[in-house]
Amino acid sequence: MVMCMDLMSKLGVLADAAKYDVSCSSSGSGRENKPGGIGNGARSGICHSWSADGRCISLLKILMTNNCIYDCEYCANRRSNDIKRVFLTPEELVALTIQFYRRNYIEGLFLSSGIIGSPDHTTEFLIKIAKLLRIRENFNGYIHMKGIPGTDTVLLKELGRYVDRLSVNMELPSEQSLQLLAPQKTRTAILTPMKFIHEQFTERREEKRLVKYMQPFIPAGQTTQMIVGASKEHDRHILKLSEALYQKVALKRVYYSAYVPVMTGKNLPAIKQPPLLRENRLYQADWLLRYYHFSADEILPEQHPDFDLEVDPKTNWALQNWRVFPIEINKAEYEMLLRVPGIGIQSARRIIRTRRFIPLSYDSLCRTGVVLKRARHFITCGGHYYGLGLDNPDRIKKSLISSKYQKMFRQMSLFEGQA
Amino acid sequence: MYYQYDGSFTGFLSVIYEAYHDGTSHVEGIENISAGTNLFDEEKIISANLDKADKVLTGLYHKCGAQTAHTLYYAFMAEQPEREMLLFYFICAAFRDPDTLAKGKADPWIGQVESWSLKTSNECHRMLGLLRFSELEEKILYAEIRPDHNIAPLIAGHFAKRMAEEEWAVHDLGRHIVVYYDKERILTANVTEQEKNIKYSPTEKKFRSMWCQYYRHISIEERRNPKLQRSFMPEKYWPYLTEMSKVS
Repeated sequence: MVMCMDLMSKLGVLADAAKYDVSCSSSGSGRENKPGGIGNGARSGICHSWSADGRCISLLKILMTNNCIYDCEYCANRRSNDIKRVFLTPEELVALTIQFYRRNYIEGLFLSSGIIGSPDHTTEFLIKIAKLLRIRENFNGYIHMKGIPGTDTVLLKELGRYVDRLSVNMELPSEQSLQLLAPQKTRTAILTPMKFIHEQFTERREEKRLVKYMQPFIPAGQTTQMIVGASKEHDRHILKLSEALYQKVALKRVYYSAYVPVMTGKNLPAIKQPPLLRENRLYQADWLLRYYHFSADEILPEQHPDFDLEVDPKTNWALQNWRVFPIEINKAEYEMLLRVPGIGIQSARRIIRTRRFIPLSYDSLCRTGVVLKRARHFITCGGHYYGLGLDNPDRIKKSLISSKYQKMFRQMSLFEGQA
Repeated sequence: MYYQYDGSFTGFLSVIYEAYHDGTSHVEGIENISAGTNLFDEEKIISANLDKADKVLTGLYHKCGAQTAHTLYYAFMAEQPEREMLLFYFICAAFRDPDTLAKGKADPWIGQVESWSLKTSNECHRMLGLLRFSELEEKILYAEIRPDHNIAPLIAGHFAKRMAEEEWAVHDLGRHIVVYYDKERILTANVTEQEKNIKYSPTEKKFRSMWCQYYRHISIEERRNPKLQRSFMPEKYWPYLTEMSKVS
């Protein structure tokens, strides 16, 4: 019973320590179950619960230990912080994962850790846990593990053979901020494993063409995370960095984590609330990069390095580039449809599919899933315009910012001091 | 003519088969046999026949493709009132014009069928995550659900693949259906009696409270947002969620 109580409190402490890492997706891996095994991957990912903050719980997201040799100023686990330090043994982690998985609580394990001894030593622990799960337990569910900056590439390569996703966190968007807030981490130490994982990933994909069965190397790809609001970078800087990461190391996702002021420090900003709206705008822009064929320079040109918090980035782009609008819904190409605020990928495809048979009217547009509240200002249907902006696009912006939104915006900017 | 059937998908397809042979213009209504008899109308009771049903479904599949067949099945499983005549209309339209579904959004009736099907698939996907197994004394994993649509048979395949070496059962409390997997096959059965005396395995309580502990600690207090939580995880599912029954 003492053991059990102990495990309970360790679980609480280490879940607390892991919760600021936002990534929780379980998608991208179609790993199949094996005979006698348990678990498989669901390519679209499955959310199993939602915590009180509205974020989805898909994986058992936990730290192996909150013991750490580093002293990063923003982190609650930093060496100089006086907190209880605990450690989950590999056997405890394996049992938790399997038992939670059987009960359909989770899709798999997302394991991160403080650095104990050295990055290599910590990674050896991670490998041990991954092997226990994959080989001894024949577990074929989702495993996401952290690549720890400074780890030997041989170890990373081995870890990659057992997990579905590896992620190395950027943490802060520039070298200067790293030096200021996380002095033991360097940009090279972070980028090197990223590049290495990318090389392995592409190499394996090339070989896979030749050999029929091949042990997969991180089938769900690699991701990273950046903390937003702990350092002084402009949004444009962050977005350009994401774009480069997508292009150069083919990341699946960049996660943005609004800085939650858990610690105080001389180099940390004094804010009361995490910059949630800014985080939201970054995600919206990130989606524009990955799925809507936008470039970072289009979303945030040099003269406007920060997001307009009042309207979403796509609407903002459309208003800045008003000369290309309105477009005719029955003629515009797919790429152009995607650029209309209120039209998403689904609805753009549906428009293309439907108009092949019947020209679309304004009424039938409702049924395609287009958000007409926004889209109507930027389109014509069979030559008719239904919006407000023909002579004066400023009226569009005014009408799109609802009173509720204005109120929220005022509160947010009050907290962030960005009014 | 009025057709009566047993309420199953096979039964419904058998009705379509018979109606086709009788000439579709005769069809005035299709209803579940439990609806009782009409006094004044001519009735024909159709028993479920796998061969006939298979002919209709294969025909639809070959003529209109997998998407149409899938839409039909999922729309049926949505169990909306008056579904039969609308689905009958849908099948007729699909056989006349294989592109019916693609043009669907313009025809409100077809759109309705499509939205039923979508509702069922959405609930299916949601339930893949929100279903909770408990371990019983005999090591069987047992889950209780009360979904809006008849999804228990639709999600069984997912769990059979995932937990091929486990014995498990999913119990739809509202429809009194149990889907049971015995490590080889999936079996569906109607149950009349509610099992009240469930005996859990000795470790079940421990893992439940660990999960609740984890659930409480993973939330970030500064980002608290119960409205968002509810929109993803509607309250109607909470009574069957381990973590919510303890919290509330």
